[in-house]
This record gives sequence, C-alpha cells and structure tokens, in this order.
Amino acid sequence: MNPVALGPRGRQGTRGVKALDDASRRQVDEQLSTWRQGDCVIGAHWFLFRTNTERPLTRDAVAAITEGAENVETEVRGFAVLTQTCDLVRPCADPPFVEVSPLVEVDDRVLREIERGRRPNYGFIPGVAPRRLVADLDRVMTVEKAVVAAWARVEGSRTDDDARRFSLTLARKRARTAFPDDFVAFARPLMARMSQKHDKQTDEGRALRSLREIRVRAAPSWDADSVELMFWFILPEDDPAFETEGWEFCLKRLPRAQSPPGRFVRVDGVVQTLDDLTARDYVESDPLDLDHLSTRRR
Amino acid sequence: MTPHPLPHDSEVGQGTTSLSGLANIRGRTMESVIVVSGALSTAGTSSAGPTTIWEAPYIHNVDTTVSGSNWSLRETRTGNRPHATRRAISELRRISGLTWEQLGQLLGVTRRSVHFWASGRPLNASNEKRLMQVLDIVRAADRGNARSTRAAMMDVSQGTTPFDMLAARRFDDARLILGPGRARLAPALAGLSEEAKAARRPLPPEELYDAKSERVHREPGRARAARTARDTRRESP
Repeated sequence: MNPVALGPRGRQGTRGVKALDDASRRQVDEQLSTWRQGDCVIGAHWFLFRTNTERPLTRDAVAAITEGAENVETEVRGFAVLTQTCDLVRPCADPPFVEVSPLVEVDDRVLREIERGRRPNYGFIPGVAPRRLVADLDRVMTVEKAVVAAWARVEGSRTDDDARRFSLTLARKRARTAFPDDFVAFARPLMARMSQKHDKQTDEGRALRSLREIRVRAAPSWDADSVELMFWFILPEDDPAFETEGWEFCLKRLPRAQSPPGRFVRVDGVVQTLDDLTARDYVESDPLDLDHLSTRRR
Repeated sequence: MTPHPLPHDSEVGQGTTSLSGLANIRGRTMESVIVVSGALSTAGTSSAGPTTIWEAPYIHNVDTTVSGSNWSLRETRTGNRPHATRRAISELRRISGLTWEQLGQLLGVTRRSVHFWASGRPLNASNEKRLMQVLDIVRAADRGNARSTRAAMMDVSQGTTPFDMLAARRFDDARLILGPGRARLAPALAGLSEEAKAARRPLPPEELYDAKSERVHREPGRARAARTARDTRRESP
C-alpha cells in the first residue's frame, strides 16, 4: 500500500481519478482554515473500523462479518475533530489526514460526569453538549482533509478555556500514568474522602477546592517490592487558603504504611506550592489520576 | 493572632535582642518571627554593604563576618508565620539538596515533623530558632548548586562533618568549616500573565479522583460491511 500523500502534481488512479490540482487544494485549505480542534459535524455519518473475522468482538462486527467483510461501518451521530488546530490549518498536502472521533449520545447524568472529567474515555464538547453528544475517545478514525472540508462545521469550543480543557482531555486519555492496582486500592480511601468532602462548605472542602494538583512519587519505582510514597498536595502560590486553612487533615488522612507483604512501606505527604517544589520533585512524581481499573497490574 | 504585613526594610532591626532573650520575646509577642542574622548576601565576601537579597522576613545582618562570631537576633513582626516557616524549609531544602530525612536529623526532629512544618504547621520557639540558625549558615555556605553544597556539608574534616556539627548545634564550628559560598544569581524573570498561567494549569484534582471507564453511551445501532479498495502498487523509485 502507498500511504504517501500525493505531491502537488498528483498522479492518476487506476480508475482514472486524478488528484486535486493546486487551485482545488487551496480551496480545501481555505475551507479548513476556520476549523479548530474540537469542532464537530452533526448528522448521520459512518465510523469505519477493522475487525478480525475469526474473532469478532462487537455486535457491529458480527453483523458485518455475515456479509463477509473485515471492514465495518457503524452509524454515528457525527464526528469531533481531534487533530490539533496547527495541523488542521497547514496545507492539505502535508499532512493530508485528520483524526476524528465519533459523537455519541449520553444521558444528562453521564453528561455531567463527563463534563467534570470523571469519564476520561469521553470528551466533553460545549458546542454539542446541549444535544447530549460527546466524543467517544475510545474510537478514532482517519479521514482526508477534503472530507472535513466538505462538512458543515459546528463550533466545539466557544472560549480558549473550553478549547484548552478539550486538549487536556485528549492528552489525559493518551498519557495517563498506569498506576499498579495495589496502589489504586491503597489510595482509594484517601481519594474517596477527598471526593466526598470536596464540595462541602467546610475548611476541608474549601482547602480541597483550592488545590492545584496532587502528585505522588514512588521510590525507588512503582514496580519495586518495597515502595516509599510521597504525596505532594500543591497549592497555587498566591492562594490565601494556605494562610488561613488547616491543611493537616490532608497529611493525617494519608493511608497508613503497610507491613510486608504490602509494598507501600512508607507514606509521607506535604502541602506546598510550586515555588517550594524542586524541578526534581515535579519530574519524579506523577499526577494522581486514578480509575477503577488500572492497566498495569501487579 | 492579629495579622501584620510583612516588614519593610526600615522596620527590620528594631527590637534587636540577644539569644538569651528569646524566651522573653516569645512570651511577649506571639506574632513575632525570630530572624537569626549572619553573614551572607554577597558572593565570597566576608563583609558587605547594607544589602538585602533574601525575601522577607529573613533579613540578614550584613555587618557580621563569615566566622559568625557576631550573631544577633532580631525580632520582626509578621502575621505570616506558617508561610515564613514553609518558605524557610523550602529554601533550606533547595539550597542544601538534603532529603527530608536528613533535614529532620539536622533539626533534631522526625522527617514527618519537617513535612508538617513545610505544610504550614507552626513550630515552637526552640525549633524555630534552630531552623533559622541552620538556614542562615547553609545560606552563607551555598556553593551555587545543591549538589556542591550538600557535598560541602558532608565533607569529613577533623573526624566529623559540618552536617553533624549542625545537627549537634555546633553552629559556629559549622560556619567556620563551611566558609563562604557563592550567591546564586537568579535571572529576574517577568511574571506570566493570568491567561498564560491558566493555559499551563493542569486539570483540577477533583476531576482525577476515581474516574469511571465503562462505556455508557447510546448508539443508533446500524452497522454494515464497508466496501474497500486496496492499492497494492509500490512506491516508484
């Protein structure tokens, strides 16, 4: 197969179809110039994926295999563009492709969870949220730019902040730390308490809401037989809560160190600002992002 | 406690007292921070003009010598003690490159106590004085990077190390052995705009607790085989 994009002069296909001439390419570029990451198309569209005809996993694949095909199309409510804006607006010859995820419908409760980041396999897009549509980030399809250029653009993000959040959601989906399962179980009581207290009108709730970030460092490594943990509760440097709120609860409620065969033999924590952390502290720690399932079991 | 603003330079020096008067100071003014002054500030010199380079409330008495024989204690008023303690611990850690465990040894407490202090828990007068004394000496001995400063503190001389001297409260001896360091010349960077800061802010922690990974959406439910065409030609040379 030849995946290389056609050059400016293009070449003729087996059925006599010619690649776009320069003027038509410029037209595609012009049409794509307004598109941004997170923008959508809504309507009846088809998402394409490949299956193993010997071992189909989804209902859609089973239905398609009966027709003897290994490529399957499923109907979706539209697409959201995942490609970064800077690549979208570059000339369509390089790169000629755009990544898109299908839009799927969810109920109001799930939509709120997705908006709050509780479901990282979905992307919240303000522009289509009133229709209860979200991007299904587990599925990605590649299309040529001219396909997107022909779509009716629906603005995904109306503010820079919305656009940035969608970008962070995509980064999170692909770059989350795979914490070991025993750590997930170990840290769950702390996470559960923080989740429970976060919205309360108490000192603890206010303090939790002012947190910028929680990071955790495992020494010598996450895979070691004996691990020392350090939790970093990071506040904004200019946050007044540091002076007025008691932060000891954060440290006092850390999980207790385990005795063997438990691996987490030391557990420490500190509440600080970015100015207090060294670059080493930051680089050697991971953002605390836990879910029910971990990809790295132990 | 009544909050007070951080002192201006002009206020510093008022209320200077002696080490032995520490208990009295503590008894009288709970909002006070004890500032132990020593020789610092200027690279490789044993005396300098009236320059203040470190952030308040740790203001240095630049009239002293590196030998540290002319220490004085100053009392300055501030309502920001937890903040000041936190900054002091951070600075000590940053300059020295010592681990939390080592900081605890240096200050005669557990590493957990240092964690609490670094998180803003107030410390008692005795510990506060000790922290400031240690910080003062380590600042003066700063070699310009944590690795070198730590190495100097761990260098064995006369059967012991400056680190052990500090842990044993032999402050004058430690100061003498360590000698003067070099001031760190940090570039004066302009602050980022609020927009730039926001763009660099990570997702808030509450969004990262206990994420759910089930697939819960609805789909139209139609599927079909996709027609495909394969291009089996190879790229021409």
